Amino acid sequence: MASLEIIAEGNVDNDSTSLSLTGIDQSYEHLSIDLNFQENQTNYRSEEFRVSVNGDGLSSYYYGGTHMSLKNGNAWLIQSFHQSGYPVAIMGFAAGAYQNSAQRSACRLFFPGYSNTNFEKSWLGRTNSQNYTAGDSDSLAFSVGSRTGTSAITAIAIRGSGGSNIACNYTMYGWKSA
Amino acid sequence: MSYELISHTTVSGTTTNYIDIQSIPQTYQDLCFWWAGRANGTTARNSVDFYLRFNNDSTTEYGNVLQYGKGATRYAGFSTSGTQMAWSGWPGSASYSNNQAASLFGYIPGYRNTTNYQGHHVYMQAGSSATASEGSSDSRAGMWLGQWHVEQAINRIEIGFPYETYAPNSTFTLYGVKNS
Repeated sequence: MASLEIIAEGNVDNDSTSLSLTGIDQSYEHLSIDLNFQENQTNYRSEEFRVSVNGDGLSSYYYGGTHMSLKNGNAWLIQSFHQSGYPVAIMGFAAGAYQNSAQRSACRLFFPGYSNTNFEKSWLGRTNSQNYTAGDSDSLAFSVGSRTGTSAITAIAIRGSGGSNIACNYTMYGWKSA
Repeated sequence: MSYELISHTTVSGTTTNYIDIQSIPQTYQDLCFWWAGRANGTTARNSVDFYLRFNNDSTTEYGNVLQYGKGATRYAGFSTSGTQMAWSGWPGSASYSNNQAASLFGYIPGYRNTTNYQGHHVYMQAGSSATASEGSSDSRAGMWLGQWHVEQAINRIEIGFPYETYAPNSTFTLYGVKNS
């Protein structure tokens, strides 16, 4: 019997600054999300790719994380963070519309044990994009994010820097453990 | 292609060093696994050893290639002739506080293959993160490729801490990937 099932799939077409997945089915053990993603801004070749969970508002929780990223033709950028009052995890960088209005990043997020309530949550991400006419618009990132508390993850918001609308196709998978 | 659950383990108590999956079915094309947890002890986060071992083999047949970010620095390196597949210091502990959380996703292509002349490779993405200031400098994320240089089908996986124990409720989930 298949243990990997599609929970949700869809499209955001430049009509929102975030992809908001709410009411996530709690009957699976793990979640993964695949996206092709662009923040529709022309100021930068790539911008931060951000995740928050459970509709966290300002100062609600502490977030932490680390990402190692290549972008804009520069050397590796490594950042670690921990913060309250700014409840997002920076999961590397994803494409903007600076070089090519159609450029998108291939992104994958992993949320192990998202539905349990007995362990601190952390999640993994990786992003990349490639522009075949401009190497300095390529990007690559590996990342981890976390949040205080042991609550199950019931909602996930995915956005860019937050200042512009986004475009993406997405598929969310549930991984069974029984 | 489809994924089928082989086993799911949740650690109870504080005496488990390794999650030990034996008699792995030999009916799939590939294996895939998820790990979530950390060490239970108060050993400094950056010195907790974390190992994988296959088929109860403790000979010097393991290698690693790593690239990851920690704090604000990128690290890269490799090792050969190890007795385990190892990434020390990665998963964190209860040092300072209990706010460290770690995740690992792994994939083992052709785990039954005995004729590829390079043994087996494990592709892994891992990260651990602290949400407090004292732990943030030890948060890390990156890629890990492990090799077991033995031409045997993988039928057993041990994963965990040789010198520490698991924190309760850490989990390991193993899936078989079918080519149909």
